[in-house]
Amino acid sequence: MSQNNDNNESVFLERVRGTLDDSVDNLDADTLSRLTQARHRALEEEKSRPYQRRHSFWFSLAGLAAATAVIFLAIFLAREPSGVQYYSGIEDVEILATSENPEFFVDLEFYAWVAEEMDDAS
Amino acid sequence: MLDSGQSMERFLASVERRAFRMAQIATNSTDDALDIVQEAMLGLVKRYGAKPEEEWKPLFYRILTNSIRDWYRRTKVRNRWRSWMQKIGNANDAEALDPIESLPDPDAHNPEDQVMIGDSVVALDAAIRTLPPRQQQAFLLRAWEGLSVNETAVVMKCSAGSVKTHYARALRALRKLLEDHWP
Repeated sequence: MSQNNDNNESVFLERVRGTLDDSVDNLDADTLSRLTQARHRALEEEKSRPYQRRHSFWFSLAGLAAATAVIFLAIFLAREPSGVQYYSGIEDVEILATSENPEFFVDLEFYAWVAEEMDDAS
Repeated sequence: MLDSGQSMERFLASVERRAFRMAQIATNSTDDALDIVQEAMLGLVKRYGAKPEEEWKPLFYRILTNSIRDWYRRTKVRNRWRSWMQKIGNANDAEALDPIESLPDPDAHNPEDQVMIGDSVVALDAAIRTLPPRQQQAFLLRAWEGLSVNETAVVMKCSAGSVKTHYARALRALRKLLEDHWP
């Protein structure tokens, strides 16, 4: 009984496979053409992949180099103010507007020292 | 010795027709089936082209079944939206409804009727379409594509036991549906 059922099942499955295979063999020309186009599009994607990978590598490398350069520049700019004297515009105007001889400002530190010495002496 | 491009082309050419038919049976639409197959081909090439060739088949069918599942979801949402819009339209135009338009198409066949139609392919397609999607997939992958229980389980992302259950139910239902057609 069970063997008979198994045989029937096998016959049924063979028939199903045969029918589905026939349906594939009898696909119309338009469908076959569209399937071929779909396959070619997918394969074109594969061909362009190594190109994309190569370029994405160089883009990554360029990005890394740019980021490194920015970091170094930032560090350099952060350190620079300690060695540079910055003057405000107001101080420049005061110097230009004064009636003192310009040499006075060149020797300003000397005059400050003389004044301190005189204060100490007194 | 074939390069990877030639191997991939040979592989895709070997599975595309069956894949198309599986998608066509599931969607009952040639255009949707072609879109699904193309999506599966692109997915395989993009994501798994570098994998060993012997892994391509289950991976390809996995992408295909995922795409079919997505299609079902999209269609479900679209149908809900349409029926909702139709309800609103019906509420607004209740008086303008043409009763003749709402009659069933006398030339249309439901799947059970189509089983009785002479063409074996049409009958089989109609019978398979009456199955739930998971049973369709299990049956076609096992009975037609010849995948093992474990391979089918990988493709369907379920246990081997579930595959056996889906397959057994599908087989029983199909034999019952087609017993008059295929004595």
